[in-house]
Amino acid sequence: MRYIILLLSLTGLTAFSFAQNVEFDKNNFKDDKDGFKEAKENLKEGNARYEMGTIFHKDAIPFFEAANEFNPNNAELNYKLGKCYLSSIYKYKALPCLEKAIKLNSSVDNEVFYHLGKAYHLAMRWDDAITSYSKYQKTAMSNQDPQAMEELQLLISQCYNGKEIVKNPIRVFIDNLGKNINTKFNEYGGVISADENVIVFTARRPNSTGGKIDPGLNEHFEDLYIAYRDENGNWGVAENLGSQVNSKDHDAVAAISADGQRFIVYQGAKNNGDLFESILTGDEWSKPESLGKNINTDYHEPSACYSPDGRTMYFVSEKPGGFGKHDIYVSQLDEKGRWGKPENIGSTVNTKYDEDGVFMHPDGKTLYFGSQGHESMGGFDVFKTVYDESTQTWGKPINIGYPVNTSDDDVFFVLSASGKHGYYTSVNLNGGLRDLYMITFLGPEKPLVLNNEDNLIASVTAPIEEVVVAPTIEVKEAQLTLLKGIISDALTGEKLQADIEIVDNAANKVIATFKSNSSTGKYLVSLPAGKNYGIAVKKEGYLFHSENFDIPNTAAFQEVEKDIELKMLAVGNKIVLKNIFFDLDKATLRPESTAELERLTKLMNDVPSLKIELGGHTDSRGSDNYNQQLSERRAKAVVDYLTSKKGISPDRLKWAGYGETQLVNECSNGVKCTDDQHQENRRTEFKVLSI
Amino acid sequence: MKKANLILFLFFTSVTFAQQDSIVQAMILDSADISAEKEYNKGIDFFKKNEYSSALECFSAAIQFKPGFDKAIYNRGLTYFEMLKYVEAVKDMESVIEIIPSGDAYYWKAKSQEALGEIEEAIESYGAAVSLDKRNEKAYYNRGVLKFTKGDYEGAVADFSLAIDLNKSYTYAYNDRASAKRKLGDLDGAIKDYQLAIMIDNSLAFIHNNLGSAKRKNGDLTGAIQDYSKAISLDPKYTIAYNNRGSAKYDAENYDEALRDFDKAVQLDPKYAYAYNNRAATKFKLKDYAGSIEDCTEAIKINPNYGYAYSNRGNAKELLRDDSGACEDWKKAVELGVEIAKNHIGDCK
Repeated sequence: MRYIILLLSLTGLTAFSFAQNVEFDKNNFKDDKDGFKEAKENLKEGNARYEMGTIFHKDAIPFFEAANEFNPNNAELNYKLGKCYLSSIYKYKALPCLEKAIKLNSSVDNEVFYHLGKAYHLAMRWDDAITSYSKYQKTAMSNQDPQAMEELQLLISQCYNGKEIVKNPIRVFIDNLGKNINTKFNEYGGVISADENVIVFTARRPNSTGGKIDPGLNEHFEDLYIAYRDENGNWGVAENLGSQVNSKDHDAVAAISADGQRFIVYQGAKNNGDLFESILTGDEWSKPESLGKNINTDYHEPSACYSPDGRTMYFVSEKPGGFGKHDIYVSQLDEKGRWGKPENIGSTVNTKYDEDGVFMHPDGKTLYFGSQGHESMGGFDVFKTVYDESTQTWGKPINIGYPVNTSDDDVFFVLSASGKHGYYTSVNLNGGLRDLYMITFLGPEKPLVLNNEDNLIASVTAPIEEVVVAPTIEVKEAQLTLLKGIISDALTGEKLQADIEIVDNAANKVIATFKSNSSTGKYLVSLPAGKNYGIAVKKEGYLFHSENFDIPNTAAFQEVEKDIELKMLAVGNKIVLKNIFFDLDKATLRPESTAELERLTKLMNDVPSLKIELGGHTDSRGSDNYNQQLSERRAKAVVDYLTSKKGISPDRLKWAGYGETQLVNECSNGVKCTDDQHQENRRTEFKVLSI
Repeated sequence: MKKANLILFLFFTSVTFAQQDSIVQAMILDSADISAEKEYNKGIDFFKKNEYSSALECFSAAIQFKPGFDKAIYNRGLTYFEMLKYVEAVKDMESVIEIIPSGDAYYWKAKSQEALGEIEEAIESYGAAVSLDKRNEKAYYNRGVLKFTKGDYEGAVADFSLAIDLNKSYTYAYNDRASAKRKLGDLDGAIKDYQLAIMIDNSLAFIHNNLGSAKRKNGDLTGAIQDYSKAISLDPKYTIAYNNRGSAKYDAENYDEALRDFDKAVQLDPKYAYAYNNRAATKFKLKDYAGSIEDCTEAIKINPNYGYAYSNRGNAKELLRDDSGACEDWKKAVELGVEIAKNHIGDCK
């Protein structure tokens, strides 16, 4: 018994001595005077940086770490080191220091429970965080600090949000984008083209333009980098976008257009931070130009994005008059190509806290943004809101879920057009700083099916299988079609820069215009579901090319590759007019044909000597005679429209019906073909007779 | 009379479990044709000894001696039934019915038709049997079973109830009525009937198993596991009960214990594809995706048309980032009629 008591006493002593605060006093380190001297020096250096303010806390870390290694049982040092970690990218290291600081001396600082709460919060130890915040709340109340009280309320509510959100994590794979993108330096804020083949991101690397070190952070200045994915899906080595794009100050990418032909860059040194645009011509990026006075103000404008048609811009500004600090605004491109007067997108999306990192999905209606408000689980979380065209309102923002959102700041998130991949920034726990990652969304867990059977009927030996009830079907939201390809000269194969005009056929309205790249001929357009699109590819000296995409609301995501060969305006060349529509079995032009007929009219007016033949063609279904007559009537209807409605001289227009005599595929009489194959044969063509 | 009864008793015992009713109605006491009587009685002797070919010869000889000898024709029909010659059995019972319509002849005609897979005809014959003999609880019961088989669960419940009205201790009828109620979605009713069956006879493992399954469907996983355990204690080799208990534990998210039950099921029956498939799902939940794939593959090896095993294997392959393998499996599952797999192939190239 005496032995047990002695043992317990010793154990108690050990515990006591472990928990005892050890001051940096030479009397406590008589056996290691040199070590003490060095530790004191480190402490002094660390304190000097610590006292300079929060942004220098990270620089104090190496000194404090060294001092702490010598004397790990000093409450104040553990507290300061914990605080410094919280201000660095290694926030997760703060918790043990702060826990130890409190263990050594629970009144080491008035704010220790606030910081401990933050550390628990970051570690997603929700209940511990709430307890710590609540303890600090008492201090804040006694100090009558309303700002602190409000912040605590927010933090505590974030913990409650977090508790709920992590219960249902979303299923994802997270992959580092690899060594061609990420280095041991900071890479972040990546933006991608809709087809995920181009990435532009911000990095702080030694080869930063101007080569300067940011005195505030003791890191290289930010520059923009670009990388392309090869045909095997691997990222090529990222390259600095050069001094044409990058200034000697901070340059951070904010957005890239769906086709990867233009991007928005944030330049911190100008006007408290403004937004600029750079455009790719051939293989050269233009010098960034300000987005104009309607976007940029004397306040902070850190983030923006394009709508898929390029005619709307969503951007973030800290200017007064919003609902909180940074708010999201929207601006439309005017007829002169300038960004118009912006409007705050409203209190459904903007909160009294900060919003940032705005990104419009290529579907044209789903806006992703970072917010400290709504139901964030800590710092900024990424939310999405969907625009309802019918009510012209934004839906309630939804937290996109854990683990994309964490208890830390999650702001910069972009999503591929397919919705399958997201791109974001995170600290590389394997020793790097911040790196770029790709998230692959797996969707809700795919149901597993178990099979069972019973001897339901007593007199029958064979068991009876239990009926498997099919689980609920996952309803996929309406998606979009990505149309991409290369535009070239039909004869020479030369890659062409051409205008791509997207028309809403039902509304007879041009909704977007794009250009293909002059050196690669590449183009990409995003066509959100729910419209009948006419697409016209035009270039001077060439016949225009037309395509039609009727994409119902229920259409799933698809990526269509279509290389387009433009034909010179030369005698004998023929073009299919894919956006001329007739009523079923009639020769009555449907209103959706208007835009195509306008294009044809313009061509006739632009080239007054041009004479053409309009040819009608049918598929092989129905009698040959009927088809012949129908094709003639339809060709004539187009000619009649151009002469009577548009004033084109009849002697410049001929019409001819070809019935089913010039099929473009094997679907002749009796051959079984799909509707799409028959559709290819039903067409209106025009042929150049003379110029 | 005594002899005949003895034969009949043995006969019914051999034909089917729990058949006890008398079907040969009388001895030959006043036949004009002695030879026919002799052959008839010889036939009964052979039948008693399970020598059906000889019995058949004797009954046929008796009929030859005395055409229209209804009892000989009836017994020959029964002999044919024992010899699995159901077409002949039906013919003989029809001949009897032509001579003297009787509930028994219709009953055995129905049994023979049932054996031939002529379900509708059998239901009709059972109907004729009970119209002539309203106390024939087995005819009601058997008709109920046939109605259950063809999915007429309401009709089945009605017939099992009639059988129970005639025999309040009819354990099988309670069990089967419970099963029919379960099919109708009346889980509370099913549980009550299974419990009544167990009150009458608590030694039948399959009823405890069925009760477990009804409770599992009703969300009472603890109760289900207890019932399956009871079934297993009564029949330690009851593979189905292990598979079911494993599923209940799976539903209760007790994956480690579920795994042990599925292990036992495949140990008892190494060709039990369901248990492999279910173990695969359990391994998936335990994040052992490679093990999950292995078990699905085993299930598919046993049953190459096992669509759900393909679907589950696709899920495991997805998490091992074998996208093309996953898509291949989901597509195969769709081919095999697994509806849910259609949701998975949207992103497949």
